[in-house]
Amino acid sequence: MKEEIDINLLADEKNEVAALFNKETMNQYEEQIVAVPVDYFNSFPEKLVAKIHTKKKPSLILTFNKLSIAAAIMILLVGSYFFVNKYNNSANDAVAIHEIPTAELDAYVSNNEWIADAEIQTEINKLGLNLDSDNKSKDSID
Amino acid sequence: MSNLVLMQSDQIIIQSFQAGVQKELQFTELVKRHQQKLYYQIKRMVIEHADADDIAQIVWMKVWEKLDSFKMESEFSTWLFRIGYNETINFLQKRKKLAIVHSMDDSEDSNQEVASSNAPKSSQIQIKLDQAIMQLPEKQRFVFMLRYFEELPYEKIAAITETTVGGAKANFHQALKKMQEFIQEN
Repeated sequence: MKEEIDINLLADEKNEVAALFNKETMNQYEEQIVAVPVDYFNSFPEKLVAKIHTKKKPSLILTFNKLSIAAAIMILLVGSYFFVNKYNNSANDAVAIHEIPTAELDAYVSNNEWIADAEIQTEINKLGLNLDSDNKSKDSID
Repeated sequence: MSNLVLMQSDQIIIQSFQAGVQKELQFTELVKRHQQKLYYQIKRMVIEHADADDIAQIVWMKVWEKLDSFKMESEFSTWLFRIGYNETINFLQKRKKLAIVHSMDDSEDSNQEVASSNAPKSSQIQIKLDQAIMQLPEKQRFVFMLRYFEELPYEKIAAITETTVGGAKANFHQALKKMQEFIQEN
């Protein structure tokens, strides 16, 4: 029903146009529109496919540019990962002296006291020798 | 019925394309089915074959790029003609801007060229028809062509030109009125 109305409406509209320009004139107008170069429609799909292929092929320069950008981003990411990791580790390793319990400190000192004594003795010996030589030189001056 | 069958097969072709099955083959099939109607509609607007060919290529390349995201909410031909309409209007507006840059004499010459190109021109009334059509605003001209030559229903014309059915009808009748006035004045 709706299609029928539209067909009637279209016919009326065509008649209105025909009152201005006869049907032959309208047909001639359309003839000039449908006139295309020989084989145009047969070759058109191939022309499009060829165009798609050209568009698909990325140029070598573009590929190189993209690769170098990707490499730079990777270096940046890896570098920042190591930097952040290192910073976090050193921050975690550092323990403030006040955080160590006194008992632990005492134990450490008593366990390592003889090492410290030996080290001090060695140092005194070294210094003692030096002091002697210093004294000697002083005496000789005097 | 035949339209329905064609639409269904368009859908099957598009589904295959979207699934990645022989994309170029599916695309070529769509081009073969719809290229003539699209080309004629564009040529009715721009007259010259070279221009119509350029625009048709742009339209089909856009179809290739966007077909994956086509949701099939409308017929493929409606979507295709909508892209065609937008590209043709873009082209005509660019050409208009270029014409403004040129001197009045030059643009008059080019108008005469458009009117006198594409043989055969048998009579004065033929030239008048060309001129009457060419003086229409682009949208009215597009609607007039779709209605008169493609015999499309107003619903489809409205979908293509992104307007209401009433708007499409008004465009057709405005075009007719302007052509009438042109004939009376000239």
